[in-house]
Amino acid sequence: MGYETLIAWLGPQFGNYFRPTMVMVNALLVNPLNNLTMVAVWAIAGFLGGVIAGKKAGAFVVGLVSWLSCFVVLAFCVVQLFMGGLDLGSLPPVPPGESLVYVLSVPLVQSAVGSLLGLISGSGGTPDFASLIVPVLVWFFVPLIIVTVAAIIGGTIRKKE
Amino acid sequence: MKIACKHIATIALVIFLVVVPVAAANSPGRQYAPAQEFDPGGFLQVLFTEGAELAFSSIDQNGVPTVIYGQLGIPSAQLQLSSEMYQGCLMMALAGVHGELLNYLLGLLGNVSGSSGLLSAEGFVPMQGGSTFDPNQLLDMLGTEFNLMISAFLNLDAQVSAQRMSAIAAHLQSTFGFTFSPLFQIRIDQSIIPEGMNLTLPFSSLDVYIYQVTNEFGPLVSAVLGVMDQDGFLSSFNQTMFTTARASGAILVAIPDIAELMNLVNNTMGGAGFALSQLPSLSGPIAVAGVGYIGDQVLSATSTGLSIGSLFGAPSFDPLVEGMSVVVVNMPNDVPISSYTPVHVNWSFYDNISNIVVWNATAFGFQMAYNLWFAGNEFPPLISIERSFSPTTTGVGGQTQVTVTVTNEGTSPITNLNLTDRGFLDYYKTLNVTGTTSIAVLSLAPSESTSITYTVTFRNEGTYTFPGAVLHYTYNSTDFTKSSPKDGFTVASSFGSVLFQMISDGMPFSGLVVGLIALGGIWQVYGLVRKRPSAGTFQV
Repeated sequence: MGYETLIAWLGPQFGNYFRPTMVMVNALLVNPLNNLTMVAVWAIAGFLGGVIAGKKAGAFVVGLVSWLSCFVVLAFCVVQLFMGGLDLGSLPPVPPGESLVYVLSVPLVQSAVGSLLGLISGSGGTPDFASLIVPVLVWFFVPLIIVTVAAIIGGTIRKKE
Repeated sequence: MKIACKHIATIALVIFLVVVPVAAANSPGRQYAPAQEFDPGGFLQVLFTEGAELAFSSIDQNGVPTVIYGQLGIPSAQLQLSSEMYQGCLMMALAGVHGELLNYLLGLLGNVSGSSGLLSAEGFVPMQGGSTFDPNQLLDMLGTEFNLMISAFLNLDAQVSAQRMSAIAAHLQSTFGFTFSPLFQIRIDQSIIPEGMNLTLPFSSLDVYIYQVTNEFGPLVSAVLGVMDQDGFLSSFNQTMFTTARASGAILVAIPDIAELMNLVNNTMGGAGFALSQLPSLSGPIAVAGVGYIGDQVLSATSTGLSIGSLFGAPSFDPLVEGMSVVVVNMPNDVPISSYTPVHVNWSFYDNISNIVVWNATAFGFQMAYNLWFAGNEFPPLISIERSFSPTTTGVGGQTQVTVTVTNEGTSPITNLNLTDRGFLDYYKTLNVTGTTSIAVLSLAPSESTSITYTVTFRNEGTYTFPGAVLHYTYNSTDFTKSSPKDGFTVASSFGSVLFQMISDGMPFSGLVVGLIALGGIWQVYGLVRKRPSAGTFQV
């Protein structure tokens, strides 16, 4: 619901690449503590890829390529988003029937805001931005680790003859 | 800045609902002695110590009502504010709004349509860089469905406060039907203060929990009403009036120990401020619950009276058995009230400066109606502004025809009409608009209509906000402004239309990607035709 609110709100301004960008961001930045759905999606995708590949090395390549292809699609969408022109000076209001609270319920937004608040509350008023980057990097590499490990498991379970 | 009656009413309302909560239910004395004359200090003290309900309505210059019903103190027993889960809890506040309520409330304080008010440019808002801060822009970012619960715990271990917060949420869910989803937790303690500041917090820790209230608005209002005492005015109110209006809201504030909160305020701010200082002896649990709405025009040129019951859908008024019941009506300053009923020298009060009538409903007992009268022609004729979209949704690249119709549903003509519907163009640069978005009409006779029609073509998906169409007109040598509700128009995201528009928007790069994918497909088909495995094909 939160992503739909975000797209309904900012889609008119950011263009038609906003939805795929949000989809890929949701897929590629995964906090395993509060987004078990995406953890499961990556694990199942990796496992099936590994089963099809049938070899550990092939399974690893399948997992890596799956993640990389998503990353390339995200990069393409972001580039198109910016090439379409962003006009942040006239941010539209949240549409009737929607609320900023719905956006705050998105797991990724919760994770980001929660980390920021945690950093501020534990750092004497001066947030350590290195500490802010670390969780983002963790969320970024979590899908890669999940998909490759699941793929290798899949490749191990069903070895090609 | 000139203080108008609406400001006084708003301040009184804020004091009633937020700033001055009431000690409640465990007070032993329940006998109420009606005041012999109106004494604001004594009146507040009674509200604090006995518990109370308030039926408040305010009519603006256009005849549009703002209606609020609130109870003080009475819900405490059901909320179990003395139980262990509330120990250490400073305050629990829950609020839900539907429609443009926040904008309207802000308008009540001024600053909307350039009117003078507490938040206007000449009021308390600082002017920086030659421009004024417009709170409406902030409210636009919040959205129209804003449902939150915020709780604060003082000087507790983080785990303990989290457990008690969970217990409170579970209790509110099982007892009243609220549903929640946790959003954020913030812990404020000495560690957030930079070392160089030499500042010591007056508490060891403050845990703030923010929850999303996931109820739909109707069930949320029902749940808030469920917290209240079902006797009194509430027993005869039509509760759907608080959920079906174009703008409405509900609020619940519970303070397990008002003395602890006041101590914190004293320690933090160096004083309790004027309002809290009036009641220094308060302690124990208190609670405030309220619902309200802003409706459509109810008074017009032909109106000479107002039945308060019609605003609440109440056929009669039966006051609380325990506690005090009050009915308050605020009319525009330029509409003199000629009479009101029931009237009693000690139980009713009329201030002709602020144009407010107050009835002590407890003293009056059961009443079929509370009414007031005024001269005719004080309000404009009944004017409606309708905006329609045809079709009501479309796809990416599609278009819709927008029609805004103004109808004079009254019995007198209005003049100098100026209808404009261009607000959406301030937000969206990608729209293509053809047709007329504003019109000027010299006069509109009774039962006549005038309209504007334009066509909008949408390139991007999303939900487009159409701010209210604005009508300026003159009646009886007075200028009026009226607007339609804010609308949202959804451009649906059918896969085909979005994909086509994405490829179109992303040219030439999107064309390159599509070409590469097509080449890969052709290569695969070629391999199949030649009956040999092509490169990259897996043998399953």
